Parts: sequence; C-alpha cells; structure tokens
Amino acid sequence: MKIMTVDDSAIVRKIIRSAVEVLDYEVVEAKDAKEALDILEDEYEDIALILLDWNMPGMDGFEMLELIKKDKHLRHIPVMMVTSETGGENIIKAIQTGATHYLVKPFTIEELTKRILECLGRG
Amino acid sequence: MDMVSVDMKKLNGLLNRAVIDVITTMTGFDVEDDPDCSQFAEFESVETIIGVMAVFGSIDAVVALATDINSSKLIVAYMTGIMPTDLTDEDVHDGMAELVNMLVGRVKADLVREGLDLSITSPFSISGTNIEMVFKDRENRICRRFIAGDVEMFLSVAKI
Repeated sequence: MKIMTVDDSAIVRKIIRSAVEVLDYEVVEAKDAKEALDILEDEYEDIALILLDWNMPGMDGFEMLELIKKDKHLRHIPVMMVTSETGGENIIKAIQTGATHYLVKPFTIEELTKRILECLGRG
Repeated sequence: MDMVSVDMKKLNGLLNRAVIDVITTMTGFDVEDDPDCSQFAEFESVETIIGVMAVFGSIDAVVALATDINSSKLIVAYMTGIMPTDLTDEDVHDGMAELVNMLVGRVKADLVREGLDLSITSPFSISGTNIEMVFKDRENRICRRFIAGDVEMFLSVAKI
C-alpha cells in the first residue's frame, strides 16, 4: 500500500517520506492538488492515507479535502491535514469535512509517525 | 489596526517563542535568543540565505529569517536527516522558506485568536552576499538574534 503526501514544500515531502518509509509503506508525492488528483485517478485503490498540506498555491488543501470527500472512489481514504495553521476553527472545519486527523507544523518525526499509525488504525 | 497598535512587546514575545519552538522541534537544536542585533552588519558580508514571508491585514509586515549558507545547510540537514553534503540548493532554499512558513503560521494563529484579521503570502527565499534589506519605516522594526551552537540566525520583522 502507498501513502500520499501533497505539499508544495519539497522539504516537507522529504521529511514525510523518511517517516513513511520506516513504516514499510511506499510514498507517492504530489506538489499540488492538481498533481495529486491526477495520481489518485489511477492509483486510488492503492492509497492507504493522504497527508495533505492546507496552504498550497492553486487549489488549497481544504478545497482538495472537500473534493476527496465528495468522490465515491476517494471518500474512504483517510486524510490527515498537515499545516502550519494552528487556528481552532480550521481544525474543526477540516474534521467536520471528513479529515481523520490534523497535524500542526512544526512536528517531530515521532509525532508524525504516531499520527500516521493512528490514521491507519495501527496506533 | 496596524502594527503600531499591536503591543510590540507582545509581538516580540510571540515571535521569539515561535522561532525557538519551530527550530527546536524541527532540528532538535537548543536555541537561545539575544535581543542584540548589532552583529547583523558583519553577518551581511558572508553568503546569506533569507526565508521571507509577508503578512497583510491588521498588520502589514515582512518577516525574514536570515542565516549563513553553511548554517542553513546544517539546519535543513537536521530537519530532514539528509547529510549537508547531499542537500541541493533547492533543498536549502525550500527548508529556509518552510521554517519561516511555520513560524509565521504560528504567530498568525496567536494574533487571529486575539481578534486580528491576517492573511499570509507563500514563503520564498533569497540568497547572496551583502544583501541589505532597507525599510522606509525604521521605527516599527523588530530584530532578534538566535544562537544554537555555531548556528546563528537573525529574525527581522518590519512594517511595510
């Protein structure tokens, strides 16, 4: 199975990759929502979890979350929002829209790993 | 409301905590702060990289986090677990921009909770030697120095 990271920051994608590979999942990277949705169209059956940045150029992470949760093929995939936005309203909005978890940057690798496992039901 | 009407001491404190928290969490460094920015002048003569972000709304300001190239490689290496020698220029630029993104996101959330209305731009980075940032408003400016072992960083916030 694969875990997808959608983030415009290559560094954040690398940090997430290093945490995910330790868990024996394959990593799929997308630098924006458009690229992510294109990949999901072909690979949605293999994606176990999506780690989604909130602030991205073009379609933002929240808009992408809404699309995922409205799509019959994608809505079952757990989504963890990963963002530097620490506002409580955003967290509530994301959870109400269907996000499984919400991880605030900065985070430690341990924190990230713990949240990923929780999303995968292995926590 | 503009930057003048925000309690500067409070803003200073929020920024200070945000920088220490972000750098410590992402790198594991033990960071100390120093309100004395007088070393910044000599710092400008070395090759420097600056992560930058602008804030608009109740406060219109530019936030910049500067460090020398070798320190930035060390910071990004600790963030990612990648050896400094294996980092690309793009990694280092992206890492510095992301650090600013994290610290501005943290301060923005604190200020929004206080009732301020703020928007933030995407972060970007600048590198070079003898980079001088000149702002018209010299009064409403915050500069702080942060030290973690041999790593030295300067945070600059200026009203625009």
